[in-house]
Amino acid sequence: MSSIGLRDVRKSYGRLEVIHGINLAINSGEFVVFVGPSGCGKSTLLRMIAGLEEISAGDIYIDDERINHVPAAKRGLAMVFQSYALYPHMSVRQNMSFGLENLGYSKKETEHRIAEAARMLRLEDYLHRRPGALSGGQRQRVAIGRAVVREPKVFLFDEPLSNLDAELRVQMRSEISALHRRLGNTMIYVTHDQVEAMTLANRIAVLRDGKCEQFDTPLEIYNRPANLFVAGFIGSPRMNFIKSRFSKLQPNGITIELAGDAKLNVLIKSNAFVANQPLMFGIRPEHIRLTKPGAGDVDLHVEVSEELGGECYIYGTIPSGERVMVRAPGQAKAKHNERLGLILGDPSVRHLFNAETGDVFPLAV
Amino acid sequence: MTVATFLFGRRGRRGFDWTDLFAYFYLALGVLLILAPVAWLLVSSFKTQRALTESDPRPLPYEQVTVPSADGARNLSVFEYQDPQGKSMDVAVLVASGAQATVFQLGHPENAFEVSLRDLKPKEVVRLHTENYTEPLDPAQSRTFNFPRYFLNSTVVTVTATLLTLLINSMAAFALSKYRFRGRNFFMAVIIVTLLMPATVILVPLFVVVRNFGMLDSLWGVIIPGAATPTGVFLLRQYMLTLPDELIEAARMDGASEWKIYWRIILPLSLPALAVLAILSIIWRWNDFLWPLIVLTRSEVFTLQIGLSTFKGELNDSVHYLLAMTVLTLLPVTAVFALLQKYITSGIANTGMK
Repeated sequence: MSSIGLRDVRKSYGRLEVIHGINLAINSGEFVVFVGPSGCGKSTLLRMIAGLEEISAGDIYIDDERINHVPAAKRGLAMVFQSYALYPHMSVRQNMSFGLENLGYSKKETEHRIAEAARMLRLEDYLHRRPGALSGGQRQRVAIGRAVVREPKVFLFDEPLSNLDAELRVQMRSEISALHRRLGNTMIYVTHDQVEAMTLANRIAVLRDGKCEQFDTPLEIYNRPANLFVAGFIGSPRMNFIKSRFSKLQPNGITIELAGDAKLNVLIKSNAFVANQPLMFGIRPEHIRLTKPGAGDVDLHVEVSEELGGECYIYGTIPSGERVMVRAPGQAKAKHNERLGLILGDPSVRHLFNAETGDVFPLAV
Repeated sequence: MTVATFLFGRRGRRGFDWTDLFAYFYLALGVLLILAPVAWLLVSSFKTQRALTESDPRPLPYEQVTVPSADGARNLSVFEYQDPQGKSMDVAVLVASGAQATVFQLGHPENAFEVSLRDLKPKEVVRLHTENYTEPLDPAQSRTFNFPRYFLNSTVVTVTATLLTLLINSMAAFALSKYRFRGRNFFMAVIIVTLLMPATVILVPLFVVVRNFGMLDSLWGVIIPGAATPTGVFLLRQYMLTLPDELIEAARMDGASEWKIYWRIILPLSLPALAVLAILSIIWRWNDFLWPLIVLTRSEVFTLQIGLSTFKGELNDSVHYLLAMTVLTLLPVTAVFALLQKYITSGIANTGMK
């Protein structure tokens, strides 16, 4: 078990800087997920920690030891690749023993560890097979097994589930989660799938364009997103954004005005506003409640209603022309072309962002 | 797919398309062009020296029947004689002078008589003249041609050189395909450019180098100069480029040294390409003539190809031995090719597409 520290880590290819100074302190035993859209640099960052990419600037520490120039083979980390990268010419057993062999473990110890890992990952019946003769899920488990037997300081996962079908993905997700609980190792996991991020992580680092936008627990990120990007990226379906203006100060927040005269109170700490300052109001689809037309904060003209059985997704436009989506529990809450009233959540779940910088005005609750 | 469906495959399901006829014609022509010389060699290797020097056009190895003379000192040629009454009999020629020959009917050596050479037709039988093979291989009969020694030399050269070629070329190919370093493409280009250099151009400088290293008249002088081949480096590099980098990264994460990555990951996965190169190298080395001829002058270190050339001397011309020994020389490479040819096809197929 080891902690990892990143201090102003940068990566550039020639003149192009792809990682713009990232600072992270990952505690020992923590499960950290790097999440972000494609091309945000999350895999690059993971590979820099692994030692597969050079660090252009900044420092990486494992247990307070600077490892910038320690080769990958000597860092004592284990990585599970997106393509699994199993050695195709070796049996499952050999795939798992290869790393131990390089580290100079005895035959007996190697056998013991492989047996242990195989039992844990239910691979006992496949040990003699080559990767080519395994299914996707089995290959995935071998890739994890290969990392597990090493008993590494840190596990690195690079989008390990992206090649699996949906059902298997859910299953492997819970297996990885169980693995973390059992081993207690520090794990860093890269994904673009926010569900994986939310379910697996102790803390999530949301990355965009080589910058870390927010690093916090999943619920904190969901409840208090640091900016427009994080608010829009985490949460599915994504948060609704409605243009608004500053109206007046309140004792514990401010009143804002949406396009179309609707007035809303938002509980925020800040009170440095200018008159009519443009703001961006954010509300998650699941926090909007339905009511009769005219009875809510704003009316919705329903365009599409998707029935998922347990809940329905209602898409429509508000008078300003902005699109809003509502996630309502139950069935048949809306019909095409129907008008509905929307209650835009309790004040505690309303988010307000600076329309220019995208930064959030921190909630007062 | 059975052999039959492979051989008789057609383009259309029903009947012959004109392209089928064209394809069969073209392939038949190819087979003929490639196979005819080999077939000629094989058949001719069983002919007598006389049939070969006379350029007997018949494909089968005919040989004149002979009988031992009365004293057993020599063999008498047997002819078919048609006497004036039209009766034919087999006769053996005792003496021939001018247009006449003294003969006797087989079984009646006491009744010699004179006949005109025009009435005699050689009596011939089809017989494999295996002496072409046995005589040069028999140390008692062939003092100059030491087949076992040449065979051993050729084998040593071929095996050692091929192993060396595979090792050196694959290491170079590994570096050129999997490491990023300044000048990588430049070095690759330089290696490719050496392909443009005809071997004869560097013959003299190479000879000087080999001589200065004291490797003349030793098998190392043949083995080492050709160990690194641009073709091999290119072939292997192209193949290794298709191996995913993630495998190497996975091995690095597994704590493998660079040598171990090369030896345990890259080499086994490059097996198809290595097999192709091995076959090519074996064929090159086994059939190599010019360079060994220059380097090797003592008959103890001759390779088979050089040994064969001794049959074609200024004073003696033993074409029958030459052909027979050439057939023997062909056998090992043919066997190697037959055993490894599936790797050539699969290897080339894999080299072409990812």
